Amino acid sequence: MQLVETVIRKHRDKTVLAVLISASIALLALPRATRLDVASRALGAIYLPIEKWTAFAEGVVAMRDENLRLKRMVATLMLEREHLLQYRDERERLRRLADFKEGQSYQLVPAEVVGRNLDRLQTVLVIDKGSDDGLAERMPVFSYQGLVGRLDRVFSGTSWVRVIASRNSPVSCVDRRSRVVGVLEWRQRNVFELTGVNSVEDVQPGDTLVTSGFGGVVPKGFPVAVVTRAAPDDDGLSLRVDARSPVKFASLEEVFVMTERVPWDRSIFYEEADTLLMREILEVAP
Amino acid sequence: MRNFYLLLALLVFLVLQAVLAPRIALGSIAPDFLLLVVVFFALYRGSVRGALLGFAVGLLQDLGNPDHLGLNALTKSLLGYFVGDAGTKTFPESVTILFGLFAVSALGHDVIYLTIFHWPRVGSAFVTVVTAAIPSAVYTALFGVLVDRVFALAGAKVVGVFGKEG
Repeated sequence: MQLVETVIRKHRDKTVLAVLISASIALLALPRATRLDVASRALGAIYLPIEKWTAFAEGVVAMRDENLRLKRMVATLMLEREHLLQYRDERERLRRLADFKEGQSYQLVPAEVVGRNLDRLQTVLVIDKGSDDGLAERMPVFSYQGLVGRLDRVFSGTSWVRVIASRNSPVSCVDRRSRVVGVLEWRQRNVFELTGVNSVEDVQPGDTLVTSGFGGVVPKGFPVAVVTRAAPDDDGLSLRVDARSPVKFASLEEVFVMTERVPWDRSIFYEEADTLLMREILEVAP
Repeated sequence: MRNFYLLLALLVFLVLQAVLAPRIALGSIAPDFLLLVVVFFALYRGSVRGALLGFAVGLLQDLGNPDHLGLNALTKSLLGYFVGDAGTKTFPESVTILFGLFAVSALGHDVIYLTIFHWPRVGSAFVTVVTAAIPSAVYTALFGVLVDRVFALAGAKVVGVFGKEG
């Protein structure tokens, strides 16, 4: 015992290193469930307050520009909404005539990004909504620009989003124009590659790639990326298709989680839009 | 008081890593500000404190990626220890040597990290080292030199945050 004490005292630095290495290896050897539990508890206590302050500071800086941009967007959307309402009525009439299945809309839960994986592989975002808000694992996550990813882990007040701009997160997509199907895989930043496309198929730069709905996680028809390059591969058999997502994954602040589908004519968005419009009119009125 | 300033410095580097690093990243190539804080601290305060801070910072980083909880703690402890050990022998004053130290530290850290991360697919680790770790090490080293110059301009007050003795 005395010998051990002497050795530790003599080699204090090496002892400290040995203890730290042992502790790290012990953490790496923990069962996955325990690791996730430890991380989620610590995340709530340490990370989230820091990330909330950071996001708040960033938000204040960006708020003025965002406000102007949103005002322009609202004005445009209100005009578009009028057209859409007309189209909706017309569509419903035609659907009834053709005896089609009832159309569907989606219930979206807005959430704020309060944390990011600090690892350079950048695969996970932390959002401030969880199972208390009706979220569940595998639900798709969107931003204004397009598909962001899916919920990987859901806790009571927070959730982890595995973004599509990460390794091992392929998305089944279809070319909106030519209906060519492929698998979209991340390459770097917001650059993707559509794989599994034959050289004879019709994919052209400028085409929009939308979700195919084949995986059963993300409903079909949601924009994911735009084709930037399509050329035959070296083997001549397949087509090399590069695409770019409009989503700025590194600076996402708000996202929407798709929780459920609701019938089109019961969509809450119209009621919400009407409420907002009425409030605007009442505030402006003398 | 010195510990309070250290925490403040750590917070600044944490914010830089969370906010600035993703914005200035070139694909998978990004500077590692948390690695810089460990290197600076280890250079000024020696191997034991360097290893301890490395472990704490690494653990904090691991919380965001619990699939590999302990991996950053391990690599940053080793980084803090060896840089601290080198720092006690001689403090690099020349910009070129400092740049080299940052680059070698970042690369050494990434080689160990990626080997364990990709294990047993060592080939994948090698590809990532060549395509991402080497350029990232240069990127990190550039920022390391920049931060060192800022410290030099700010003088003893800022250096005191890391606790340079004498």
